[in-house]
Amino acid sequence: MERRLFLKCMGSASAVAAASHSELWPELLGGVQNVCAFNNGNNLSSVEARHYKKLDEGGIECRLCPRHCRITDLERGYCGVRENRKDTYYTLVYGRPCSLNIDPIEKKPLYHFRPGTKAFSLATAGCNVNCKFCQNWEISQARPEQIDSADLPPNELVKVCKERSVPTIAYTYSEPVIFYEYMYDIAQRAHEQGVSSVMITGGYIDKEPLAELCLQMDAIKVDLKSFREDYYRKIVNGELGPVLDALIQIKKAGVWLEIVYLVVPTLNDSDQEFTDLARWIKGNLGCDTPIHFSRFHPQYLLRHLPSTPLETLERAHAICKSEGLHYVYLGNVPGHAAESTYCAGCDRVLIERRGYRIVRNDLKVGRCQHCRRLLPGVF
Amino acid sequence: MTKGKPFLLGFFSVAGQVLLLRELVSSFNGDELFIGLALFGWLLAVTLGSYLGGRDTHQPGAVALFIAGCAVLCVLIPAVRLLPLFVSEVAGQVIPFATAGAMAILVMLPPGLISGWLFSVIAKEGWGSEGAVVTVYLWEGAGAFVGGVLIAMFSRGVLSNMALALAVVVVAVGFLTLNHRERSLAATALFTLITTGLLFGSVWIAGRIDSALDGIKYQPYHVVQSFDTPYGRQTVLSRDNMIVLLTDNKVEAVHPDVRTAENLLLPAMLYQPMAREILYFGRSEFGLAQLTLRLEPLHLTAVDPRRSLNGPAENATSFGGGVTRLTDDPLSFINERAGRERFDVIIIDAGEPDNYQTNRLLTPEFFRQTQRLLTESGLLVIPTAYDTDRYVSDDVAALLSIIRNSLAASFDQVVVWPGGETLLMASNASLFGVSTDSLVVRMNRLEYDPTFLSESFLRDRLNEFKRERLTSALSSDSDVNSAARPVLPHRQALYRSTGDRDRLILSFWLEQPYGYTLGLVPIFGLLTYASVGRDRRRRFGLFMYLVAGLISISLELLSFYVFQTTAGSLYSELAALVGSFMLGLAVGTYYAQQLKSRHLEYPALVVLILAGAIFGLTWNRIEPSTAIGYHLLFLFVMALATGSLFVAATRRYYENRPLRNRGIGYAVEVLGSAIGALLTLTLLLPMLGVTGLLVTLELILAVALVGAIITARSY
Repeated sequence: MERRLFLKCMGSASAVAAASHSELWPELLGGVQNVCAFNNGNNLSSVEARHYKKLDEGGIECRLCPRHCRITDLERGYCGVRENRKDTYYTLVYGRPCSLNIDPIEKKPLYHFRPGTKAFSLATAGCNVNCKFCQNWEISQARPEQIDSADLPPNELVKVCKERSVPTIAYTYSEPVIFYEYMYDIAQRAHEQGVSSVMITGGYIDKEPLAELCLQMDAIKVDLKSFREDYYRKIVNGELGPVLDALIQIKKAGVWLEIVYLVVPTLNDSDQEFTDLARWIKGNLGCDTPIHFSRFHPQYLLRHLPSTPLETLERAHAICKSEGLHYVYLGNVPGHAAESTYCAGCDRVLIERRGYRIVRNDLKVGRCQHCRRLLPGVF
Repeated sequence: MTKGKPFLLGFFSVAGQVLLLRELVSSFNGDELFIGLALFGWLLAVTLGSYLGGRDTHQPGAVALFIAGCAVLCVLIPAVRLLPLFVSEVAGQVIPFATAGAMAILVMLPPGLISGWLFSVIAKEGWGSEGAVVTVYLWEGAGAFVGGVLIAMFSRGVLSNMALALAVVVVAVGFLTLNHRERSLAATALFTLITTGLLFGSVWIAGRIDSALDGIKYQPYHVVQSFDTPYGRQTVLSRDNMIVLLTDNKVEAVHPDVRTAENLLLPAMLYQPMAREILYFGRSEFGLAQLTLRLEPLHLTAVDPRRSLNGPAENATSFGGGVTRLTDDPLSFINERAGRERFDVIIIDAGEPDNYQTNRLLTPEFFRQTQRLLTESGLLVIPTAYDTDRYVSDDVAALLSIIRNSLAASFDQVVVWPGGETLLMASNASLFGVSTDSLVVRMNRLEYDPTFLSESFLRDRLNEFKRERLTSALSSDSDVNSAARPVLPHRQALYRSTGDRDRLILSFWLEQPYGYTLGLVPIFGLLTYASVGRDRRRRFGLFMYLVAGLISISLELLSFYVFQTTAGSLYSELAALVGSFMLGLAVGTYYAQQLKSRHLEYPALVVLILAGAIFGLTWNRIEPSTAIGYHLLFLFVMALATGSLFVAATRRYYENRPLRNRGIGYAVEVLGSAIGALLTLTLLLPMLGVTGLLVTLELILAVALVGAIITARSY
């Protein structure tokens, strides 16, 4: 009798407590995706996406990146910014940049593209991978309704660039592939106004959209996270193969290409990996393709891993140079000699850099003044 | 029933709990919420164990349970240290809160269960005596007091966690053996000698085990040095000519690290070019000291409560005469030096405000203290790890707003620099109305060529667009982080929650008023059960058990928080504070048992109400020099009343029913403690503040007093 009374009292108290918070239950029982829709979606665009296919059995298959997400009604792809509504695929971030800056072009880093100039840099929410060391995780791993965005259609954005005399627009920070339509339209309008476009990307994109994009881009910088498939799987949640294919495709399309390799200590910093990488670049992209080895700092999910020792970066630099690559740089190490550009012929300094600043530029019409060798790039 | 076993139970329980908690916090970078969860897990397991042990079924013997407990402790300490390797995909990866919380509860389950089980089994040895539970509680309290003091003494960098765990096991086994049967004096002396030898041996073995575990955990880094401090586990690693300092497995500093050092010192120098005396709260060995030497005639006084690094780490980071390094707590240092010294720049490198230890350095109260050491045109610098270079997220904006508003509550002028490591500076002098061009001119005048704060970096960092974006993101309506109501650790926990599931859990707990519902359900449920029916006088004893557990741990934790915040570091006084509490508990229980009154609960509850009220009126008016006496007295009196309340509850519930499960009352008391552990500091303190929390506790006590009076008449 006593035990029943005790349980009855506890049960009544629990029921009262639960009823007083009944509005919580749909939220708890719903999918995580629904819970994360914190506001009423005023930040979302409704522009039809490109590069997708309607499926016979209903739903659509996205063809923008190699994930080929199959999405049913009201669901979104992995990137979180493209949504199926009654079998029409929409981009939710068209004209909705969440990050806008004017950065030195060296910050991208692009060292062989109009050195010393500025780039109007923008990004939207979302990404099609999930790098554990992402520096921009607050926007790349967010849904568009979770962060504040501006309303900036392509025409307006290009107009701002012209007003501020910024010669280049950079699609950067998160992953521009996922705001493909917005990026493409901006780049198209920008070219009409004499403004260049550069894309800073992880390179995880399908062939067809990349081919179209290469017609609008003046330079592409690809973040090659590693030269190992298991690293891409465990740390990046992506694939290496399609990124390497993209690099070759960009090169063949004649778009200026630079590569950044973020060296993460103990994870992708072996000498063998550097050697394999250098040989692949030389064999497939040519020894004139610049590569930047960048220093890792604790971020996002790898906050407990120390930053990269300088010695490791210097080792990577030495290996690549010994394998025959001409333009090997070290990033996030201002003041280091490997920040500057040297002539591949006579080894003299062509462009001396200190951080973002060009201290000295000895190029003459894109050539070394001493040996007249052409410096590859866009100047 | 011998008194030795409950004494050993108290000793072993406190030791095991503290050592496991230290290991868990170190391995999983626990914050206040995590600690509350781990403590909750322990107390819940004790509740379950005491219930299981009190049933009328065949039970294992106390010795067998003690041996099982020893084995569990020996296995769990190294297991916890290596657990992150198994639950994370790569080394250095942050473990999600949900995973860490689950691990904490799982780890605390076996030893907590055994501890609770032992209580009931030992209490049964006094079968037929209603005072058996109280006697066990009394001697358990005494053992816990001794255990707490010894662990606190030896853990101050003398013995590692592993060494302490092995020592505790040796002591427990030795005690059991010596206590088991009568021996001659010679045999006892010999056995004591053997036990002492084993103690020294265990310390030696622990060192080997520590090294082996470090080698597994941190490969391919070379472990230069690894030691426990009262503030956590420090590990120094090296690889490719870089030295890394880990504090509780989190990277605190690397050497060389010019970027961080320049960010700490140079911005202040640009606003205060004539600065000569710099005071820095934090570890200066990793860059700041070396930078200071290059900026003659600057002098740096670096204050950090942890001991200096030695050996190869010190050789790599050594510095010369322009730097004075002191081992002291920041608040203690200020109290000692105020009025005697002044500094041009004070840098508070508190680290991320994950816990109340660091949070106390980011309050208006502490900022006002620093003003006692600042010159008239002095400058305070708060570096943060928040990145506002490309985007200002809502979470970061909230955190920076709180810090900015807390600074603005103490200083006339505050400026915020955007960047990869956002910087806040404050002063009472008009220092900040300087253009970027002028800052660049001042920088060029320094006899030092900056690497990361060069002109191009400076102009990029401080461009108009970024500054306006940051300024507009900060809100003056945000909270102020104060000692009376600390809000930073919880915003920090939300910010650092990774993944949707963590965010959902933490948001549910911290942002919505649902968390305390979990505490209200058992309180109201038990109150209702205890207040109805003919047998309510006896049943109300259960509610009194719950109140005893809930109020005692809530007031104890609150006292620890207040002491730490207002008087300086807690760790050097923790042993005394815990000891005072346990002593009060033991004395209160003992003397209450001697009294034959059937209404002990009335004076006990009145004393608790008065103690809480006096604490609420005086906690922030006590001079730091008298704080230790104040808190010792408060904890003693409060525990004295709690011990009496426990006896009163036992008399009510077990009166004339000696065959009742001895574990039920203890289980309910521990359940109350578990609720207090989970809610008090993690949820109620930031939500209600110190005063609001005390009012809530007083209300519960008042309800208990009124209920006790009403239900007494029903008999």
